[in-house]
Amino acid sequence: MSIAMQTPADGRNRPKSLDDQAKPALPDWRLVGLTVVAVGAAAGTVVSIVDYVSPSSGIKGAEGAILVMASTAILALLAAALFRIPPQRRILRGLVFAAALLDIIGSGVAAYFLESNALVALLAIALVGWLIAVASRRPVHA
Amino acid sequence: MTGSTVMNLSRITVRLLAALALASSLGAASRGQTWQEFNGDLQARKYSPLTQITPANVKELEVAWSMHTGDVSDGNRPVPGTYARDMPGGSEKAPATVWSATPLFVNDTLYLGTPFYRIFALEPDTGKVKWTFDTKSKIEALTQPELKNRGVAYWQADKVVAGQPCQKRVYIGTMDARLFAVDADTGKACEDFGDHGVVDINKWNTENAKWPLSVLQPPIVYKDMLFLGWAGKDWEDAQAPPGTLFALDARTGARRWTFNAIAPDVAPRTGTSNVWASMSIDPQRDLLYIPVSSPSPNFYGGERKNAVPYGTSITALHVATGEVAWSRQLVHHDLWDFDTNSAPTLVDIDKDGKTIPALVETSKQGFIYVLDRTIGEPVYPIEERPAPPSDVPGEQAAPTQPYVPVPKPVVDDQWPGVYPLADALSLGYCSRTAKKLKYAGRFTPPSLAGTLTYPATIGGTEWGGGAVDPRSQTFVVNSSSAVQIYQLMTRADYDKAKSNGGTETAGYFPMLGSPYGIKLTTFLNPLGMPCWKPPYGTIAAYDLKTGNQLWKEPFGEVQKWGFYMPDAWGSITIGGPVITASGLIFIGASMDSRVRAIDLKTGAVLWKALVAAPAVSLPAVYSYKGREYVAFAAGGNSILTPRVSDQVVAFALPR
Repeated sequence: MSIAMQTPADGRNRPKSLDDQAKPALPDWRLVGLTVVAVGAAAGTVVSIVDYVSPSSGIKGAEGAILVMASTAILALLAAALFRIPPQRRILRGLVFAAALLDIIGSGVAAYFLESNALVALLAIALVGWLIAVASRRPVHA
Repeated sequence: MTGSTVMNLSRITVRLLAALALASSLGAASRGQTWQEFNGDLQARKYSPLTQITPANVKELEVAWSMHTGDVSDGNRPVPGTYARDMPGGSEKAPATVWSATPLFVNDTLYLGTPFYRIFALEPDTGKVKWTFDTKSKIEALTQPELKNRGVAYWQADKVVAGQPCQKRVYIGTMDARLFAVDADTGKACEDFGDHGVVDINKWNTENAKWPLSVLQPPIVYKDMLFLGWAGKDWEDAQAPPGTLFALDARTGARRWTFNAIAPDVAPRTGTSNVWASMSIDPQRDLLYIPVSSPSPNFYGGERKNAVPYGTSITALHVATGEVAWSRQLVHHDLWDFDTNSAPTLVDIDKDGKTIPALVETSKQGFIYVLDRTIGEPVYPIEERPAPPSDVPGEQAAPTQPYVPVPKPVVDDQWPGVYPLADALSLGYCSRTAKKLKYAGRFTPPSLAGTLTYPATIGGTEWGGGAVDPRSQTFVVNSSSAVQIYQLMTRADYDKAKSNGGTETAGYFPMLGSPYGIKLTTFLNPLGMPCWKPPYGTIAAYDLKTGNQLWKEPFGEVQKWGFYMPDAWGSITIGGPVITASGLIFIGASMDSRVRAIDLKTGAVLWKALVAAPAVSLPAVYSYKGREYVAFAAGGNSILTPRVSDQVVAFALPR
């Protein structure tokens, strides 16, 4: 999915005001946040796979590594879904946002107990992205 | 004789003395750089005088080299190559491996035995293979449930004759009861040892010979002699081979003497009380100290009441004859499989203005026995305290048991109690089960209803024993806090349980020939979580001059499904520590597959590194070409975790 092709994340194709036209467009922070979540989750999946196969990870072949592989992959899918769910479907969006938060927290705790520092860091980044996405209900303009 | 001649002679004498002193000091330094015995030295001190790696720089340790022997099996699949020679087509699963070898560094070579009963000679600074020797022994778990090996032994002639083979030798034992001697330089069998390089130990297995005398622990070598114990099949038979210990000629393999821990008139009714762990020797006194295990059947003694005084003892033998110098029984009428399981550490203790030649013996029951090693009497008092009676028909538990208040036992007197988290997660399973079990403190005998046993056979201190810093007389030991359930079963009930699928894995052991079988399980909830409160493993230091505990810390981490549990929980441990003169403790042993360096003064972990499997072995500390190495065999043990490996890894400071 190309983020660049998306309309503003609130879905409203409001006409640009004169003021808007006068200033260069600033990033849609909600899209930025979701992108951070998606990228963090995808990178987390890759790290989990590496942990699962690497003898130096301490969790090679462990069930816990499979768990975080799955949970980070699911998080990436949730982030992707949030790009596509129209804003009118508020309940669904809210549920998916909540599920993503639970996924981030659960995966982060699991990564902490797996002592996978890289995964903990990536999930912390994903959490920051989630916060940005939630805090930015509409595109922010200077 | 003129004055000048006298002067010259004096100068020559002084120079000679100086040269001798230098040679002596160099010799001492050279000895200090090796790790020639299973426990580092004959005294089982597990102490290295090396000081290059210090508490200040230990954080910089890096992998100097790592290698894999190829001799590993997880028990789930056929192992091609070595194992396949015994199993045509290689279709049979190989038993799992348990590798607890201490690497030996001597003769400028690192020597290791493997659980496939091969010897590896490695370059000490690179890990490159110099040579290997294959005993071509049966790769079958004939006595133990897994393929086990604790390494090799080394001997060299007092006067090495150049060009003659086998002036230096490496010995390895096998599960099928053979002892091999190999030239340490070439890896070729020593033809003059036994039958073309091998002695069949089982030819001396003449009483209750139900299984071979497996040689898993290498012999201890002293004065051209090898002192050799053996391991058997645990908990299988009431009548088993009696606990024999053999002294062999290091050159020929001829038997010099045999010590038997069980009197001939008692032997038909019992067995074992063997020496399966390592031993130590006092070269000044020519005494061999042997840890004697418990007699069979391990959990019912109705047929052997007071009949095996050497059972579960520490016993001193004269090396020349095998005669007993003294013996001290550590558990009377053992009903818990409290084998004396490690070599006593020999150290001189400065106490109350006197220097006492002492030994320190750790134990499964969690006591640390400090004895005068010349006579076997306690340095710190050992009290006979009343012990709970048995209610099993035919059994009569000992009315008292030796109790050691000082040094403080490594495990508490009372079991830790139900862990609320484990209980909650299992919806009360732990507390319900605990209420049903019999428990009256230490030494509660096994019962038909089920006995909560603490400490138990996998608790206290295992065969790694402790280490000592002889200068500060600080003794360090790791230990496990484990609760097990011992339930005797009448023969009819046992047979019924077996026919309903009761397996060894589920804890069923027959003790054939006795009225009872046993079900022995670790007290876990259905999720596999220990029902008792952590910590599960600790490491502690003691001042032997006073008997005081200096510090005690949780040690290692529990790992389940990859998740590491909190540090405060510690880990069950197998394997032991070593100490260096710079004030460091090096130890693997924990189930999290990590090796650690610990500050001897404080117990703080200063460094840790991940290895391929739990390093259930003693590390070797040695120096080669000016660089200090700490080498571990990371082999794993199924008691801790299914993770096994064949890795040898050496750590050193960056060049």
